[in-house]
Amino acid sequence: MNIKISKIILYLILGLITIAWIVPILFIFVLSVSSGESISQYGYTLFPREITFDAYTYIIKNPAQIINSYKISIIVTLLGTFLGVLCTTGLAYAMSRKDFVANKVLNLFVTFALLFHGGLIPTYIVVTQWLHLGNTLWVLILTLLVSPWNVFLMRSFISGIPTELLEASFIDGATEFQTYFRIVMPLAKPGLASVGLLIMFGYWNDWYQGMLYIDDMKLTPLPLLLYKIISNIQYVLQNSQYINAANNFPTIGARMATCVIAIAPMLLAFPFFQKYLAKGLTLGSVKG
Amino acid sequence: MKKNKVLKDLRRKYPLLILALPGVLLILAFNYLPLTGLVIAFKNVDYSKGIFASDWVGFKNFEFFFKSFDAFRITRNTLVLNLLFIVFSTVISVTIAIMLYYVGKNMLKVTQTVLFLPYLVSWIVTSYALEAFIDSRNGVINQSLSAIGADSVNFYYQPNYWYVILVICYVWKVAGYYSILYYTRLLSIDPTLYEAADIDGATTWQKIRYITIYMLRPMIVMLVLLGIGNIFYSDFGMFYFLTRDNGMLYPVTDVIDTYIYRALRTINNPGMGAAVGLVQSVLGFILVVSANAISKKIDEEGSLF
Amino acid sequence: MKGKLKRALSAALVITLLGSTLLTGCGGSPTAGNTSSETSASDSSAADSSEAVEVKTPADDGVYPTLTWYMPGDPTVITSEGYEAVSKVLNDYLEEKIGCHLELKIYAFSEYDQKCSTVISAGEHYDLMFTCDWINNFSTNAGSNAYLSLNDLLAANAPEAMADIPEYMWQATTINGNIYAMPALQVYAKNDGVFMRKDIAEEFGVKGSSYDNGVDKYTLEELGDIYAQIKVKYPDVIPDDCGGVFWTYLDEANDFNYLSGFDVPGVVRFTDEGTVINQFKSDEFMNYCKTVYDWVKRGYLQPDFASYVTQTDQLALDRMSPDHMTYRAGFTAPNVAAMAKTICGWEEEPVPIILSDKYAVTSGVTQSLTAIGINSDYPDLAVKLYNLAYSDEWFVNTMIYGIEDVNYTKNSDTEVTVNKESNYAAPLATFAIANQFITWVQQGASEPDQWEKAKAFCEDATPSELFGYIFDSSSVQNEVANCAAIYTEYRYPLLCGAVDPETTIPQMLDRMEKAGADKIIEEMQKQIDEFLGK
Repeated sequence: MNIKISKIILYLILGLITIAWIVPILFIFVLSVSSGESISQYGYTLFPREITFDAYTYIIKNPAQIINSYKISIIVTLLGTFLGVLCTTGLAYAMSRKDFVANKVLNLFVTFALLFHGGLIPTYIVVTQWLHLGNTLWVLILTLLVSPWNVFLMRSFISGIPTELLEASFIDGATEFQTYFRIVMPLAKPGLASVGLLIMFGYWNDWYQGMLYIDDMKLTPLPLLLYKIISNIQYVLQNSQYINAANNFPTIGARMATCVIAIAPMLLAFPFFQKYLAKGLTLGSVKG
Repeated sequence: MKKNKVLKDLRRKYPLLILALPGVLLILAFNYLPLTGLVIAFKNVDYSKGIFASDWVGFKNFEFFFKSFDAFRITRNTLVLNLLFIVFSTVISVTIAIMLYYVGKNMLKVTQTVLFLPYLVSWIVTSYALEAFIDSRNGVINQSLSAIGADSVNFYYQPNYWYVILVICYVWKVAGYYSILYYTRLLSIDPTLYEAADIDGATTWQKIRYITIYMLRPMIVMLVLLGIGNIFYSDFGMFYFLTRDNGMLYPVTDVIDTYIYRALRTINNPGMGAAVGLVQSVLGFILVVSANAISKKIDEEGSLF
Repeated sequence: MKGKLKRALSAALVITLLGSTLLTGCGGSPTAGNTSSETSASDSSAADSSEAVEVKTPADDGVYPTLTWYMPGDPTVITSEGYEAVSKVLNDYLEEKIGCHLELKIYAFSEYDQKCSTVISAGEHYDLMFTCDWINNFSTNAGSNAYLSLNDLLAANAPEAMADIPEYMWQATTINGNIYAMPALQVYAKNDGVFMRKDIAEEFGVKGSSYDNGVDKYTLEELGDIYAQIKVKYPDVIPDDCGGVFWTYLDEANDFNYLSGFDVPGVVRFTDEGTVINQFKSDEFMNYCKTVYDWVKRGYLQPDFASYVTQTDQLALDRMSPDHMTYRAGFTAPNVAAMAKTICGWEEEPVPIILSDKYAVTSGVTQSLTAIGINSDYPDLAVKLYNLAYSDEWFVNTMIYGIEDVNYTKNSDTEVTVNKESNYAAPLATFAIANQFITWVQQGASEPDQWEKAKAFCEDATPSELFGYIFDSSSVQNEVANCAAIYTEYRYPLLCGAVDPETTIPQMLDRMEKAGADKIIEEMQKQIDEFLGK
């Protein structure tokens, strides 16, 4: 009886949390399909008076470009996530092995990188002039590939694997690589999935790297394209005496629509990762 | 003799080096190489010479920040707010993660997705959602207030509410992110530990305290340390867009990054900007080193180095 | 066991090798200065700064040099194909005329500042760049030697521009005797005011002002009286546009000439341009803030004006509402009237209510300039290119509108209709290029003859004595930065009537004093004395 009640309370609390969390998002979605006039007349409501898809048609007015940007974003995200997980995990594993003599150095190396930033201009100079990566697809991938933050997260997950397992593997005569690929990786699957998810979102949402390094419209990823469309509107309005704003466009709606367009694919990708994030994956391999 | 030991270990474990190599190279390229640009903080930039070859001016670029009368206020705001963020996000995320651990699969999937979505929403868009709540004419809160006959509150004019508002917005945005991380960590806890505790007659609460939270401790410590390392930085988008850059809120919401942005818009001196960034990094570094030393006493595994 | 290990090893090696080649690429030392190339006898130019820039003669190597031109605009309305088609047309023309090619780098306004500052800081070899005082700040960049001095290049390479653009405009882009940018011919006279919807104006007997300098001016009090009358009849409507605050950049309404932007203490009065004062201490400032504070209470302005003023989305919506009565922009000129009509969806052109005299000031000129990068490889050609854009109507309009009948259709000599579905749909801003007065007008955006009217508008403006003077803040940078930060904290609350000016202004002045406002004023006075003494 006690267990049942506490379970009910648990579900209730989580339910409330879920609702509280999603209300603002619902607002965003509703605003994206509300007409401008109804917003200024009736204010903000969760139940729109009229539904209009003007905002979406305005943004998608050039479908060829949006499709191209989707393509770029997808390529960059898939490639980047795959490579990123590999590189991050490799480094994190080396950092988690306390018996490794270079361990402390590696940890310090990554910590320092996390805390000190060179700043925007030096990074720009390094990327464009020293590494010649400007205006290429690779710049979108490489700059976000390994971040010290993600390395630490991954290290934390790998540390959760008991060292007895590793020792057992070595005693059995396995090499470092074999231990890594056969024991560590499978056990770290939830960690790989979590950090992989974060890396993936990092790529999918990024417009900043694109803004800095990409000039070619053919290489513009989706968030950058949406950013250009929307922020231009705002700028034009603020400086209307300079710029001829002859167009009639939906504004709040358009901005919200951008958000929805960006989030929607994530809703599809999430379940894919969630397979690995369920309780079913247990160790079960700790021998007595 | 020690050198021999080191070489021997390296030779035996060289695969670890290979595994780490790509990551190290990338961090070297994108994080360390740009650090050479920190010299800009000590230069007076002249584009005809190129920024690296410009003249040295010692600490002159640092003066403007330290001499500014507001240095105290913005530093205080930055620290206080970041501390609140770290505390609340950690507590709430851990709690949610533990709750998720005991709940069924379906609810788990839905809740995790919903919790994570805010992380993808930009601060600009969030500011509109916030406005839907706190706007002085049409916002949900004020509409409810007028329905019960109370006066409406102009939230954008009153700085003190913003301690609460900012913490709520921040938690809304990151709780999903952190709770997934903590939850994933929980998955790797050996369930036999719980079974053993059951046999010993432990209550749920005791199990949570001594197993769950204990196993989470390294991760909590690490994330808190990372947060402390960044404690002098703020998420610029958050402070700029949520507050609509309203000067009346500055006593609470003006942080180092927003102040610098305002000040440097008129002067546009990259040397000054770099100088402040350097100060933020150095201060954060000092704090982290001290905090790390303390954390070693609490939980060796979570400390950064 | 051994075989497997070998395979794993080689795989790992391959991966890391690949990785390192990607990273090192062709890395080398950072480019710190100019590339050296053969000097040709006919083109050489000496910049004022220490390096000499050498120029390639185009015909020599048979390949036309490509000049890059950075401009703000809307890159989302063009596609690669569209751009390439237009580019080919332009380049063919350029090959004949000057012997070069052009690459346009168009960035959205919102990212233009960031992009340009990274490009400048990285020392890239661009040729032309749009700069001004409200984005990609001209005087700071020029002060840090980002741009090339043009004194020796102009006479030979830009004869039309030199002849047409009046002398005082060139003075506006001169710092320490060096001309660092080429001004664009666009609306450069400034005044302050609002536009009122025609039917409302008629209803309340508002005659409006003339566009001629100082004729039928209104005062702020008179505007307040008009609003009072409107409020009596329409108590629920907010008469003012709330589209900005009066004291934004240049406030001629109170006869102040801003020397370093509005956020910095230090202005001169047009009536007495030899004395620098702190505008925040002035009576005009206090009275203005009191008026606005009063207006908010009376409902002439939005009740949360201080935060409303940054919500441009909401503003755009409100402007289209049928109750909306006024429109305010940076200056009250005929082309702005047409813009107001379009943006608010009004049927007739609104009536201008002008609150100040019309002045021709440095900032009117510095709102659209084009500079040449200090590391440019082809400065001569760059100036020639600018001159071409200045004088050649077909060329500049092709840059702006694309190819006839593909991207636009021509309605008359001066009007076009843009084909919005095409792949090059008017991405550029007309005021940003050389000569706005020869650009064609988009149908529906404004009147076809707006540029003639605009030219006339500028001609009777009162020129400032301080034309050509730009404040050099290098010795008081700390004070300027800190005072600006302080002011921007109080700006909207004061100018939008959210706080009581009687208590708040003294607070602000106190903080500014501690931050060194007086030092700034002293420095400005010193520089003005020198400038006028010349």
